[in-house]
Amino acid sequence: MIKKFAAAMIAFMLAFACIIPTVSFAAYGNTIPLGAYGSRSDLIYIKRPESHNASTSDKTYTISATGGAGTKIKIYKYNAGAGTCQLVKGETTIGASGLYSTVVNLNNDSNIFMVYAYNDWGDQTVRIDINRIKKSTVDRLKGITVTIKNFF
Amino acid sequence: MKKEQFKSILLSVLVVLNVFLASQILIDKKLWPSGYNFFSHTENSGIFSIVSKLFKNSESNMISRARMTMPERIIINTGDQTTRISLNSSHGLYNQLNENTYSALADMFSKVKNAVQVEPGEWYAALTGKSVYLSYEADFDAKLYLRFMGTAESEVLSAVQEISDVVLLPLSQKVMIVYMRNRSDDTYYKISSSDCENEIEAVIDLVRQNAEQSGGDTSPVINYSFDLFFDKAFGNQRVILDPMIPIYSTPQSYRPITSENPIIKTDGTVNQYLLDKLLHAFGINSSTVRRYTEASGTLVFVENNATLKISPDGFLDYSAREGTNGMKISDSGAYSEVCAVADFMDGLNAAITAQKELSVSSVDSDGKGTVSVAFDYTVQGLPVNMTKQGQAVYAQASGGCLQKYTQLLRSYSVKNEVMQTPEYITALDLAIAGHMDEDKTVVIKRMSVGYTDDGSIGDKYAEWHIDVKD
Repeated sequence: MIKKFAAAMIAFMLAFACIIPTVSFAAYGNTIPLGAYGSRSDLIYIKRPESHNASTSDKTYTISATGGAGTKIKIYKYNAGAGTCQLVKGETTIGASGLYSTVVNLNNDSNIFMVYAYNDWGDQTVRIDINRIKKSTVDRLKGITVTIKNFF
Repeated sequence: MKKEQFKSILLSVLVVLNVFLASQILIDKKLWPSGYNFFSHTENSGIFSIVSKLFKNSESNMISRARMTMPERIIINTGDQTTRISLNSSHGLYNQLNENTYSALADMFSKVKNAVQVEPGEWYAALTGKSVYLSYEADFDAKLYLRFMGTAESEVLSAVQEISDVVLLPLSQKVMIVYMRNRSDDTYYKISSSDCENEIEAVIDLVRQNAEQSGGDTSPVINYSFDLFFDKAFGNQRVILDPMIPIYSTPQSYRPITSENPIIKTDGTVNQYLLDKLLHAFGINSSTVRRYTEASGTLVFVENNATLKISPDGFLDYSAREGTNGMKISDSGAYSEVCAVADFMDGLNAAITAQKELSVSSVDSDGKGTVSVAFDYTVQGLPVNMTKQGQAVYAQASGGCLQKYTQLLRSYSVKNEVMQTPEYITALDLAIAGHMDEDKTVVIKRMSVGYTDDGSIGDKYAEWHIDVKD
């Protein structure tokens, strides 16, 4: 009896161990918690914005990244009312070039996006903060290189 | 009395005419021994050509010369970070914009004294401001580019050797900075003037208003590759894009086209009327020229100085015979020869009803007096990429003489349907897949939408053309 119980326990633990990695990064469908973190940190590399946060006066922002071929990417946006991040860009698979880019809409002054990447080896989440500010502020922050001052 | 006078005058005219025609027969070999065509010959005579120029619209045969400095694509940078508008020659505002940029550049080049080399960062900053980006298909020799802009000599030439991209940054109606890029060594230069009358800023606003009214929020977002840092490798990134490749957020719409060979139909029928006109353009008398047909069906015309071949698929090949100069088309000099080639090509295409819109894809000079120039057909503002021949037209001239001229003779009609290209990333992935076995970074030099013509007759579609650096 004890042997049967031990065998059942081992079988259960083995099955659980096999299922955990799959379940953990396949669980995110239409929503993802703001504090979610993945099992890996090397599946994708966010190229834009370089520091994972940016300010712009535009209505849209283009996020770019690189990653291994076959890695899947979804983009979620934080909804303060719902207290969670909701899917705004469905699954895209990175191809042979390893390049990825997508345009996201900026509806609010403060916009939080979660980039969720996953493949057979694990999953990764990256939080990106984009602030919408006035154009005059952007120009001031950019410290425009070409001005009358350096023209002459 | 009057009758006698009339007879004398008539007799005199007939005697003069007789002497004139006899001299033509004795001097001009073309009139021997048969095939004499008085009207065809007089058309080529000096007096007739002067008279005919008075009545002909000579500008109609100078389309390509005027298009020589027309950019393949103009991108309006509105100053907002990712709000840009891309125009090709099919856009309603393209001509106005092109005229404005041309006159502003011509004015700048005629006034500025020197060009200064700048860091790439300054070029990128100009592209994020309110500016106009001109993207050329060809890399121009700077001297030739300035000649097309109406400036023969300039101090600018002491610094800039080659021009492939240009950015105009207007600071006011009189103050402007022009940036130039040499793509081959990725160097950047600027010239500036505080006395350059221009309306560039007003045109930028006009294009933006037009885009907002017609497209609104549905317009694609355009980023340059450098905006997305795709021009810089990180980690195991295998692909690097040229910093100036525009990346569109949505697929591109286009209308398919149908190609036709104006001279030889698919059933092998030769349009004799157009063939005579073609031969005439090359100064060949269709009645007297020695001709034969090869087993492949290629028509061959042999002259003293050159051989002209036309294959059944419409590939024309004119080659001067070894030891001869070829056909005289202009004075010596790269500028004159390129202009003459463009004019000759326009005249030929008009005569045989081939596609009239072509844009220069390369201009090269070997430094020993030989200039080579290539053109691509342009339909709906998109270049037609010849996968088999490489280019639609290729010409080589030296000493003012045409030594080599090849052309895939085609006319294109636009179909009444709208299709879409794949997304840029899909096209890029497919192109890269073919290089995955190579153990090195793949560098993409150019990436643009154009029609693909494999030389066959029929429907042609647009797709992404990706130029990988060797």
